[in-house]
Amino acid sequence: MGFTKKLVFAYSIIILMFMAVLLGLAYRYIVDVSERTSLANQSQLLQKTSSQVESYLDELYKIGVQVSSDVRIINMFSDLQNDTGPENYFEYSIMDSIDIGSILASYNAPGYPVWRVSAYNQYGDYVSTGLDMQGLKYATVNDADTIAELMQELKGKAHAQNKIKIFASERQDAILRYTAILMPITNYYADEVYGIVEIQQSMDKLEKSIALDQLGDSTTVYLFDENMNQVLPQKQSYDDLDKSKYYITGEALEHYGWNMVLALDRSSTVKPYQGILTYLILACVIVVLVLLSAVYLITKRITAPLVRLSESVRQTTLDNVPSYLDNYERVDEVRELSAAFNAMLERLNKSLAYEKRAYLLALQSQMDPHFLYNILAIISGMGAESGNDRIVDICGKVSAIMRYNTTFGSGYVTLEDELNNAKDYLELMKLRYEDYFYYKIQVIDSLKPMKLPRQVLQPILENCFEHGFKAVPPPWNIEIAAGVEGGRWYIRVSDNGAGFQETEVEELKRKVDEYSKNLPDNYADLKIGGLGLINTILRLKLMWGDGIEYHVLRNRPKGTVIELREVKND
Amino acid sequence: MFKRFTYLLLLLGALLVSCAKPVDQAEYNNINDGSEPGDEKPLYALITKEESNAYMQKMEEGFRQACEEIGADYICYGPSGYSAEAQVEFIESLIDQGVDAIAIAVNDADVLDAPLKDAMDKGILVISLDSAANAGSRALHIQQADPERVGRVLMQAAASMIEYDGTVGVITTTGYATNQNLWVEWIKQEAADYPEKYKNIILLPEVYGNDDETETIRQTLYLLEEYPELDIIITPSVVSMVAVGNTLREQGSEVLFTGLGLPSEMADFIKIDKSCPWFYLWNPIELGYIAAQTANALFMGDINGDIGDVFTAGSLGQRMVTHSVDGGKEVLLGEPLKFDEENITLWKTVY
Repeated sequence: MGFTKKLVFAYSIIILMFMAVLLGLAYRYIVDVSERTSLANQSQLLQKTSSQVESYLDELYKIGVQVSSDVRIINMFSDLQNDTGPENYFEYSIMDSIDIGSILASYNAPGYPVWRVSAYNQYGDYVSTGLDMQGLKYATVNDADTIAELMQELKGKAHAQNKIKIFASERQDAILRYTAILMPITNYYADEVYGIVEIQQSMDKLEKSIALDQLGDSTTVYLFDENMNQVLPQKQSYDDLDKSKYYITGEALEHYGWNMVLALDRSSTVKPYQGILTYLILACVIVVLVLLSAVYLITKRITAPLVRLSESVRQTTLDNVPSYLDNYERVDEVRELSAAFNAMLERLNKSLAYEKRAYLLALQSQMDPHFLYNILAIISGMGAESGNDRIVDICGKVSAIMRYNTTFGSGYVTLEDELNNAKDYLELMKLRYEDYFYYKIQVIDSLKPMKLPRQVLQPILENCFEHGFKAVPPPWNIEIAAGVEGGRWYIRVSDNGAGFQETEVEELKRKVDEYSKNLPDNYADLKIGGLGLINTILRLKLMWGDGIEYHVLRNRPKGTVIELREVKND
Repeated sequence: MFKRFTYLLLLLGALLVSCAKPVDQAEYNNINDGSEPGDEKPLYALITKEESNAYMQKMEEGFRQACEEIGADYICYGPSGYSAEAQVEFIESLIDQGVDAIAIAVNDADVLDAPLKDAMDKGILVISLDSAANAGSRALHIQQADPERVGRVLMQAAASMIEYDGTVGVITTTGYATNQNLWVEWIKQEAADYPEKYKNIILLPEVYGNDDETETIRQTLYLLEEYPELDIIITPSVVSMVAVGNTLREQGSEVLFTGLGLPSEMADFIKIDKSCPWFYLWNPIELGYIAAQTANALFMGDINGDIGDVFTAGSLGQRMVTHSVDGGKEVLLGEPLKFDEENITLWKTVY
């Protein structure tokens, strides 16, 4: 996988994980908020609903207070305590019936704010006004003993603030459901209860007042009387409710002793937010897609120069070095990288140019000797025919020297090879100068395998003949010594020639310094044929750098010593 | 071309509808047909005893209110006098209009017997209210209050007002008004049933004011003149209550009166003149209301009108079909209310 793909993949994973976490948090938050909102609403609803129930019961209570404290009614029922017969006084006393009925009607007028107002006692006396409900002709409690008990119970409450008893549809024969508040007809001073006033109200009105139908499917209101009998709703029992699926909040009504419970379907709380959630998910998906596209494009754009650079690097071989890399990158680091790479290419190109030139020179130098070898072979043949062994010998040595000098190999030879070549050369010189010339080679064996550049000794030896021996009479001596002193090797070439003037030594050192400072530029000036002392020194420096030093010394009694010596930095 | 013809037809249709609406508006009536043409709303009619009678107007108010609650169309007619003949004409007109039910406060049950039977034969539901049609010419009667209790309480109240000692006169309406006749019967019956209680009471024979103001005044003056010992007048009619009260006021008479009156018309006699210690009446608005509800229950098939049938009469709750004294069937409104100095101020604003 390319690093562009790796980057995009990594970024995508990060973005997706981030979005997933974000979405999870958002969902959690929404659920929390919706729960809190729902519960707050539920609490408000509970208060509102319970106050509606209170005001529903208040209406009954108020009428009850008015009726039960009406003097005419108190007087009538006080009188009726003396009439203990079981028959209904109001059945046969039409005038009193209409009289009391009209009083009751006045408290329930106009338009019947409550269903029915009744007044009755334990002796079967009963009068009422309001809506005529079949089956509700009489009161909620209608047998003498129960009424008497109830009157006693209400007597106990006579001085209480709420001297009431509430019924919610206790009569099974009621066609319509209703609520009833019962209050005592009482004489405060005598502490007597003469009868009961009963105010009935339709349960439908209660349901309407708390707007059960407007609560929605998710909320159910349960209303219980003081004995925790369920009043509402009529069809669903609170006991059947699976409480784990609902938020349950409850409240006791301030007066009347009733209790209210609100059950809110848990699953419904998130419902209003489902739209938002869907949009959120959709938005997340879109954002992720946009981000991923952006990541892909940006990554591709940013990595494009690197890809190109890497491609260039991959394609660069010694056989195929591009001259220059496109350098239009915008990113600084990449630009620097490109620049560095370009510089490197430039250097490489130059190096290759030198290398080519070196090859060329080598080839040039290799071309010429073939003709000379042939001539030397002819001369050698002729010498042999004429019985002149010296000619044959000379030709052999010249040929060996030439071969040695023109062989193009690694460029390095052993000291032994170099000494053999030097010996060939000196032998040739011996043939020429015979007894005018002597040479001596002293080398310790352990130095013989040491690696050296080719043609270190020959130029120094040539220099002895060209420079040292021209101005002095023979005999001429050359001594080559190689050994070790103080753990460092040395090679020393001594002659008994003219020797160097101080100025010549200085000039030599100056030239060496000059060339070594700017070797590539002056490389071309160093003719292959003119391998002189400078050339030798430079090549040694190329090989060893500061690991070698050279000395041009005066020989005793006369002549020159050229010394090459290993330098160790310790 | 076809389009233009359609527009023309629509225009003609609209003209026809707008022309049809004011039919019969010369009479005291009301047609509520604000409904869209074509939808099948029931159409109920009310025929009152007389158009200017305040009690009848209140009854009509209740009838309309119920029809609007039900969602029925309604027509209300009332003759300009207490004429049974005029009511016969209305019935014939309503039969022609194809109403679904007729509720009627009869001026004369016998005169209306045949026309109402005719209507019933044509498939129209007939119910009577206030004063009953004959048992055979109605499906049901709406009984405002038990006639026995009304008659007896009037006698009891009058006797109580004069402390069971004195002369009691009775001014009723016509001899044909079934309800008034029944009440007067029960007034007399009460006196007859308790001779000991009423031993110091002289109950004069009833006189007829014909529910007419002038005639009632004449009859009042007659009683005052003929029976100087007269202590109290009972008059079971809203129209004659006011006429009697006014006459007594004009005459500066000490004679008291009681009966069945509208609180809105009686407040001054109770509070200022004090000539009427108290009187009785049921709620005529509720009477009209329950009549329309009963007609609807019958028409919709909620009840068949058999004894024991129970139905919901709108905001007045549940009602039951019971036997009536005339051998027919009826639905009872309830007990009458007593109006006195204590509550007249409240009720005079209601009806």
